[in-house]
Amino acid sequence: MDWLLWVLLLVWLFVCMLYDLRFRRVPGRVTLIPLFLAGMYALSRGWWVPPLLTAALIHISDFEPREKRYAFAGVVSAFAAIFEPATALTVAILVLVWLLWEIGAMGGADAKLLMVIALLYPQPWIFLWIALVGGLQGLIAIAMRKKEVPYIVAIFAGAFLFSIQSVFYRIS
Amino acid sequence: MRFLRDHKGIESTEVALIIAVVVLVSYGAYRLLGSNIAAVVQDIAGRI
Repeated sequence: MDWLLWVLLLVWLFVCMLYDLRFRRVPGRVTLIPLFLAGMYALSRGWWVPPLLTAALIHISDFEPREKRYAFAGVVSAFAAIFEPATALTVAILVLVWLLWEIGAMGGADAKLLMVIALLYPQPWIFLWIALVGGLQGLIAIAMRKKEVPYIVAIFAGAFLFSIQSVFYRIS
Repeated sequence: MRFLRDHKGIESTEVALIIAVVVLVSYGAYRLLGSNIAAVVQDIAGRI
């Protein structure tokens, strides 16, 4: 991915983190426009399955009842992975993020941020960093007897640490 | 749309920990079985 785009992504994640820490929510215009642009970017790179799956999952979110949402999401995701096996991991990440939001385990802002990252950078390593930082954040929150954590901090910190790792990897 | 209208940015601490564990286990499984999983998916895609 172009380094300028990566810097823009980090700056955007940082702005989202500031919004989240202050208001416990991120305004729609701050997340929706980048989500749309990330989808366009993925399409322009020829990765047509992830953005189409993202659009489908957003649409499926309005289905009733809940069982219908799960069934449609499962079928669409399976077909997406089968028709474009190279994107199977990205498909799994997108579905997992959507599922976490669907069961109420993840906020909508966090889900959109993770989807943007998955669309721009369809590699699992960055999500490994984010999950590790999130786990550490969870442990610290439990030690401080807090029940909730702003996960966007983990998303930004994970992406930042991944950037540092990538730079060191290129230097060495 | 429900997903697009949700702007919350908060999770429970347990969820953050569960995500970390699930991702680590998935990563371990991927390292062990990744090539086999890819072969199965390719096979299904080929049959379709």
